[in-house]
This record gives sequence, C-alpha cells and structure tokens, in this order.
Amino acid sequence: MSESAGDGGTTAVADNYLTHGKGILSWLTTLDHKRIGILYLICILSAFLLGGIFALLMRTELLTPGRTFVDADTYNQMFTLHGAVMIFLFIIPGIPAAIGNFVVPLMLGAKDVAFPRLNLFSWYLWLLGAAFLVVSIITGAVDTGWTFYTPYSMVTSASVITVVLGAFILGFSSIFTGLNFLVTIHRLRPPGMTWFRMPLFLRGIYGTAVMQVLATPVLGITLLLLVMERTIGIGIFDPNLGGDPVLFQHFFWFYSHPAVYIMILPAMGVMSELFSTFSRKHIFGYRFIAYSSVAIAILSFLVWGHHMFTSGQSALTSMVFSALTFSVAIPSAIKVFNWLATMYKGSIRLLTPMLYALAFLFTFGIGGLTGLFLGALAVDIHLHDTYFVVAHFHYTMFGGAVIAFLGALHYWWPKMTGRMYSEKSGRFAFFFVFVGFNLTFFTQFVAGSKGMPRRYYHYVEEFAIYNQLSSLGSYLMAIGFFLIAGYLIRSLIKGPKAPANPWGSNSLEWHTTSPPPWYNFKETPEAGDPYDYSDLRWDDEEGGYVSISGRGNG
Amino acid sequence: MTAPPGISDSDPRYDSRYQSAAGAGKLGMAIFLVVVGALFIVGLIGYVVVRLRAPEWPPPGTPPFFYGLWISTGILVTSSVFLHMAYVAVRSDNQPGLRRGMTVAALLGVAFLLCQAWNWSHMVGESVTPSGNLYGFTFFMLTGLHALHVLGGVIQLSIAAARARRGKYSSTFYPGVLYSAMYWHFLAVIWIVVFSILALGG
Amino acid sequence: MLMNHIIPFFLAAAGDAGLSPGMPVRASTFATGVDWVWDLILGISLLFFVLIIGLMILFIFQYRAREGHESAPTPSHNTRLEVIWTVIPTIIVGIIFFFGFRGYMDMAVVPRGAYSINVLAQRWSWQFQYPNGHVDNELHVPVDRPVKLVMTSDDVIHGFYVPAFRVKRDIVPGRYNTTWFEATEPGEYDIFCAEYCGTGHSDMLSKVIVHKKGDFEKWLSEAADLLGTMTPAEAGEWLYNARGCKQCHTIDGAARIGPTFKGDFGTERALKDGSKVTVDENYIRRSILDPQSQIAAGFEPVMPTYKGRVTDEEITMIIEFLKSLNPESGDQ
Repeated sequence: MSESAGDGGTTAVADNYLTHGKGILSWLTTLDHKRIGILYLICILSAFLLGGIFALLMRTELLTPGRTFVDADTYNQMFTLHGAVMIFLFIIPGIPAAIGNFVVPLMLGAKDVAFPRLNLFSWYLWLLGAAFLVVSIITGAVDTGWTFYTPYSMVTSASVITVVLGAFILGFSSIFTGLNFLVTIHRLRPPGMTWFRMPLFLRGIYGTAVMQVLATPVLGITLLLLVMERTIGIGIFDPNLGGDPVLFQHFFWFYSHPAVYIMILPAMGVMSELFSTFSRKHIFGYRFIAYSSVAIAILSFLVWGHHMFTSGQSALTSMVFSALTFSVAIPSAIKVFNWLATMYKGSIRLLTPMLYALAFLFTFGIGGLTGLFLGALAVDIHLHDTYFVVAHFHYTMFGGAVIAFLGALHYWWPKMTGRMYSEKSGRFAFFFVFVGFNLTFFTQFVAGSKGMPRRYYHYVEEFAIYNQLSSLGSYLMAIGFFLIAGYLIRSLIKGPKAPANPWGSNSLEWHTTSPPPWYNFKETPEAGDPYDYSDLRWDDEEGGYVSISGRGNG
Repeated sequence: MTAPPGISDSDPRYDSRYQSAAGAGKLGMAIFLVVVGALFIVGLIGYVVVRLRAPEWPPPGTPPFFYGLWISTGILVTSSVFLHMAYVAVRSDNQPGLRRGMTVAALLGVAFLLCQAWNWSHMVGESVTPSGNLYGFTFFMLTGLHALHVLGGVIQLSIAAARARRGKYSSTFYPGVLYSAMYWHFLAVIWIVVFSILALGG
Repeated sequence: MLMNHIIPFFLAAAGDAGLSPGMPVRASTFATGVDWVWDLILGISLLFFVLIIGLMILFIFQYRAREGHESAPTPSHNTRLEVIWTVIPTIIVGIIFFFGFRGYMDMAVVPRGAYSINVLAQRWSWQFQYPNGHVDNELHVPVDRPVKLVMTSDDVIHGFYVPAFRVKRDIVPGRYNTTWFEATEPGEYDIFCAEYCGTGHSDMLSKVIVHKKGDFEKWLSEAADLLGTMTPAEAGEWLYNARGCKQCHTIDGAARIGPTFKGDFGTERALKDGSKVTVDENYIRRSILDPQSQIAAGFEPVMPTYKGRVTDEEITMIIEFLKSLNPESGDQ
C-alpha cells in the first residue's frame, strides 16, 4: 500500500497546482477544481469586504438616534445591499463553492469534480451575477431590503430589476455547483468510502447540493414574477389589480428558508471535521449526525410560513408552521450533543480552527436557542420584525456559517497555500472577532425584545445605549478581520512551509502534499475510516503528522 | 479533453483527469431534469393558486380552448417517438436508422416551435395577452417557459443530429443521443402535463 | 460616559423590578401571558446553554492536550444515549409549542362587543377613525375594555406594533387585517411601524393613549368638535399634523418627500411636465384630491389621494393654514 497516495511528505514537489501553468490567463481558463476554489475564495472574500463596509457604515449611522451622517434613503440602501451582498454573494457560495470546490475532490481522492467545465462556467456566472448587483449600486441602489417584499418592491424607483436579474443568475451558478457536487460525490468516491464512511463534510455538502438543486428554481420563478409584475403589471402580487402581496412572501420564503440551511449545513459539516480532528477522537454518533442532516434538509422545506405569523394567515396555518419549526430544532440539538460527546475523553488542542469550532458551539447555541422564542407563536408576535430577529439570524448565520467558514479557512489554509499562518496572531484575532461579535449582536437581542423594530434609521432615545454598544462591537470585529487578513497575507510571503498533515487529520486530502500537486493523487487512494487517528503520530522533522504504518506517507 | 500541452496523453498521472466517471453524464442529466421539473412544478402550483383565487375561470370573454394546442401536442409526441427510434437504432449500430430518427426528431422540434408561435399569435388575435389578465399571463408563462426549454433542446438535438449524420456515434459511444433523448422525452412529458392542466383548467 | 450607560444597560437587560428580563413594560392583558412564555423559554434556554457551555469548558480543561495525556478510546456511538438526547428536546419543544400556541389563540379570537376603531396606514402616518367619524393621528383607547382594530393600508405593507401591549399585525393593502387588545394601565405608549415601508419607515411613529375610566368618552366627544372651536388656520394646522401631511411636507423650508409648505402659497411652481402653475386655492385642492395630476418638478409621484377622506370644509381649513405660512402672499 505504500506510496499509494500522493508524493512523499518530505520530498519537495516542484510542481504543485499553484505553479502548474503561469499567468492570469492560466487561472481564468483553468479547469482545476483547486484553482476554481481559489478564484471563488478571492471573489467571495471581496464580497465579504464590501458587505462588511456596508455593515460598518450602518452601525456608524446608528450611533445616534437621529441623523449621524447619511440620510434615510442612503441608510435603507445600505442595509439592503449589506443583506443582498452577504447572502447572495458571500454566505450561500461561501463554504460550498469556495471551500467545497477545493476540498471535495481531494477528500474523495479524486482528480477533479465530475464536470470541470461546468464548474468554471458556474464561477463566471457568479461573476456576472455579482456584476449585476454592483451595477445596480450605480444605477439606483435598491432600498427594498434583501427580501424584495411586494408591493414596496413594485413601487420603489430603485433598479429592482437589475438586482433581481443578478440574484437570478447567481441562482443558476448555485444550481450548477450543486449538480456538480451531487454527481461528483455519487460517482467519484474512492474504493472503501461507503456512504457511512464518508467524511461528514462531504455529507454536509451533499445535503446542501440537494437543497440548492430543489429550492433555487422556486426563487427563479418568484423573481421572474416580480420582474413581470414591475414591467407589465400582471396582477399576481399587486393589490390594485386584485393580486395578493402576501403570496410573494410565501414564494420568497419557500426558497429562502431552505436557503438558510444551504448556508448552515456545510458549516455543520465543517464542525464535525474540526471537533473530531482537534479532539483526536472518532466522531461520536456518525449515523445520528448524518441522519440529522437529512432531517434538517427535509424539514427546512416545510417551515417557510413561520416568517408570516403576523401577516394575517389563518391561525391553523400558523399552528402547523410553529409545530414544524420546533421540529427543526431537534436535529440541530442532536448535532450539538454529538460534538460535545466527541470531545469527551479526547486530547483537545486549542489551535485556531478549534477555537472557531468552540465559538461555533457558543454562538450557534445562542442562535438556536433564541429560535425557540421565535418559534413560540405568542412570543413571536412581539418579537417579529424587531432587532431580536436581526440578532437571531446573525447568531445563526454569522455565529454559525461565518464562524465555521473562518474555522474552515484556517483549517484548510495550509493545504490551499502550502504555508502556515502565525498561530499566535490567529488566537489574538479570534479574540477580537469573538468578543466583537457577541457585543454587536447580543445587545441587539435586548433592543429587540424591548421593542426596537428592525430597518429603523431613527430610533427612540431609550434604545441608544444598545445601538452604541452594538456599534462598538462591530468595530472590534472589524479590527479582528483586518488582523486575520493581515496575518493570512503575511503567511503567503513569510509563512513557514506547511507539512502535508499539520493537524493530524485522517481524511484523504491530508494524504497528499501541501499544496497538492495538479493531479491531486497519482493513483486513486483507498479510503479508510476518516475519523480513525490511531495510525498518525507527530513527527518533529516533518513538522506535521505522519503515518506510523507508512500508509499514504503523509 | 486531452492533457495540457507538453504532457503526453499516456502520462499515468493525467490519464483519467478529464475523462468523466462512468455514468456521471447520465446522472448529471437526471439531476438537471429534476431542476427543470421543480421549475415547472412551481409554475403549475402558481397556476393552481391563481386559478383557485380567481372569482371566475376562465375570465369572461376568454376564447374557447384552441385546437392548435392539440396539433403541437401531436408534433411533440411524434418527435419523441422518432428520437426513441434513433436511440434504439444507435444501440444496435443501425446508422441509417439513427440518422433518420435524429433528423426527423430535430425537424419536428422546429415544427413544434412554429406551431406554438402560431398558437400565440392566434391567442393575441383573440386579445389574450400576457399583460391582459392572469389567464393570459399564466397561459403565456407556462407555454413560453416550455418553449424556451424546447428551443434549448432543439439546438442541442440539431448538433447531435449533425454529429450522427457524420457518423460520430456507435453502439459503444452515443452520449449525445442518450442525453438528447432523456431531455426530449422529459419535455414531452412536461408538455403533456402543462397541456392537460391548461385544457382542464380552461 | 461609558460607565453612566453601561450600568443602566445591564440593569435594563436584567429587567426592572417585576418585569421579565429584557421585556418592556406591561400594559395589556396579553403582556402577562406572553411574558410568562418568555420566562419559560428563557429558563429552559439558560439551562441548556449552561449545560452545553459548562460541559464544553469542563472538557477543554479536563482533556486538553498535554504531555502524557492521550485521548482514551470510547465507543463511537451509544444508541441509548442518543435516543435520550433526541427524545428530551422533543418533549421540551412540544411543551414550548403548546404554551406559545395557547397564548396565540387568545390573540387570534376577538371578544364579542369589542370597541372597534378603523386604522388606515399610509406612508408614513397613521389615521385612526372612531365610530363617531372623528379621525386622529393618535390612538386613544379606554382602559379595561377590549378594542378591536380593523386595519388597511393605502400603499405598501405596514405593521402595527405596540411593544407595551405585545401586539403586532401586518397591515396589507387590498385587505382588512384585524387585531385586538385590552389595555390595563392608563398612560402613553409607543406605536411603531414594524414592516419596512421606505424612506420614512422609522418616522412612522405614533402614540396610543390609554384613558382612565370615563375619560375616553369625554375625550371623544370633545375631539369630535375640536375643529369647531378653532380658527380655520388653527384647524388647518391640526389637520396638517393629524392627517399625515407633515410626514412629507415640512413647514420650516426644507424639502422632504414633497415640497415644503413654508412661503409656498401664492408663488409660481414648475411642474414635472415642464409647465408652470401658481400655488393657489384650486391648485392645492387638486393636489389633495388628485395628487398625480400635478407633480412638482424634482419630486416623486408618491402622494396618495385624499378623495373621500377629507371634506371640502377641511380642505378650506388646510388652505387657510398654508396661506398663514406665507405672510407675503397678500391674502392675510
């Protein structure tokens, strides 16, 4: 079995995927999944920066109850763009398209995804969709909120159609990526990797892909109807023509609620990898974690009505949606308990990726538990459309998906770039992100439960303190992100060379060199149990983990 | 896909890089059909919702169901049959049968689109337009969405037919025929569903 | 400065005496029930949060990687344990669901004999119409009596929200949505618009004034002929404030959504279509009843029509008020 997978860890590989082919053109025409992953990473991080700048501008405006430095219309455009950019350009493609593209084929021991050309095409579609969004900022920034609720989105003078077409194109990109991963995971699994011996990250990506493929067409139709309504006035949502504006909300959330789980399922997949690796323990309850993902994917299609408890839908409808909403809480709880049990009697290393995993437990825990308040009908009436909701979804989306994304980025960074970042800087920046995040959004829970509605440019005096603390937190977070950007960029230039397996993980991507060669693996490796660490020991000379039996030599 | 310049095709490290895994294309096409199916299911649910909410359906003044739609249904089903004959032919290496089946299927696809255009102009002549009322809108949305997919299918089918005429397919290699057939039969089924719902609902 | 704020913040977050942590004052019959469910969920959440984070911290210390410590093999699954931690949360969320639903049903069923007030929401103002025909921009209600609101919107979706009452309902154009409440404490409480509705969304505020026993009827009969006790210009000013003019038209010279009223009357105005008109009585009358017909240059055509919602007499009062804002118009 020796030398079955990848080149030897200590043998320098002259030719890796980064040096294979030179010049911008070799990147823009690449079919290599790793390079496409890097292209996505650069793009979505730019989107994250843009969305983050909007967020900081908003928080600065909210420092005072009245006008601080922009007028109401500008503020409305900022929160819309913040939401649209973060959701459509950053979180949805974040883990699946950027991290997933790089990691999925490697984890499968494959040479590439099933359809490399389609993969590159998806990236160009992403660029085109992003271009539409950016153009709309110039031609008339949208002020509808990222939810485009009718009839407001029909009467506003902003370029709603441009943004909607952008979201439509991004939907295609998302569908093609999902389709590609589904086929890849079905057809390119290596010998030995059964459905129940597959790394849980792959299962997360798989579940996400199923939802992308099934739910995104609904968004497509909804957005097309909105465009039709605005251009030719078909009268499906317009009350003046006998339409029903609430129908739009039903259509919209039928996609957008599963979309929330499109954002969180891959994050949960990342968590399973991190908890197991950094506890040096086999993941606990593989089957329960796996089935809970399936349960989440199915239930996520049945809960959209909980966004409309105050819209005037019938009490019976609300009751059913409330009950289904609570049922979604259970699979998430199961995962949390299983991750805890994975830590039990482990050997826990508090390296930067693990810090993000632990932070995830904390923030996603709060995000999930506050979902109970919103699922309970009587309480939701009070909390609906307040800052409590804003805080809740930031605790799940940011505290869940983005924290997991950061964990994943730190975890796979050495594999992607072949360089180690400074562990000390990583922990230091983590502190800013974690404290800043909690300060920003925990205060919003209180503002919301006290009654502050969301999307408020002015607010009454009593909410000033919560908003000021929240803004302070957002600045701390910004410092954290600039620190992260700083030490990651520094690592590219000055960072020490990364070993093949710096963390002692056992999934297949760690069995090849860092960065991997262009062809990933010489021969398709044989997959073992990805959570069995007994064959790995630390090697000082290598600066990483090596196989005791010589298998994979990595 | 051949290996990059400077690297021999037979280099063991590159050989299988861009060769699709067994069955990947077929599975990919099947998933794509699920996506298209989801699109039409949502469209049809939208139609049913609109119809249930309408005080009167079809709205007063709507012309009777046009017979032209029966003709297009016939054309599309016949086209599907010919494509199936081509598929059977290629599997038994019957090249003339393959050529005939593919060519006729593609031509019938074009005929279907022309027939739909005729249907639409007839509807507009009877003052049923997309922006007139919801009846008109749903009619044009469902048939238009379907025609768009047929248009894509005709292009792909024509390319495959041209290849078939040049003798590119054999009983061991016929992906173009297989994918065309999967997509085409699927569109025929979708059309029959759309057609029946429009016929029953109208 | 920070200290002055932070301490009250934690006090407020922890809840004032007698209030649920994080919740505002209670002023309706719903508040007690909602707060009870809130407290229940808060208790359960805290319990689970402390359990999860406590175990996490314990494990970090107990099993941290160090010299001589190895991870010990434990079973990789335990079906009984996993079934337990599936079933327990299921039961708990079932309980929460039940109480949440029970509280909601109280809100959904309007008691018979509730006092009915019509609500019209428009960008960005509220109009409350009482059974005797009086229209006000503040909501006046009697204490200890169920009040039913029949609400609709003129333009986009709005949301009626009174935090102190724990009441919220979307107001959807083209249909009537109803909600109800019974105030328990006399006083003044905030009304917010909860559903995003554009530029002035966060200015779409009002007050609900809960009158002591017997005061409400007195207020209503006085309010009904309030305008008769004023000069026409004063009455016009009252209408300007009450009927939603001021949300878009200032009287200090600054242009907002619409042109300012200050120094406006009697001047010449350029219209969007390029023509010019004099701002006189007829122009104002037409602008109120058919606003889309004469859009001032530089503004969006967003004003709703007031046809059927103001009387001729009221239009005259508004015209008098506008005249008073331009002493140079010569009509004074």
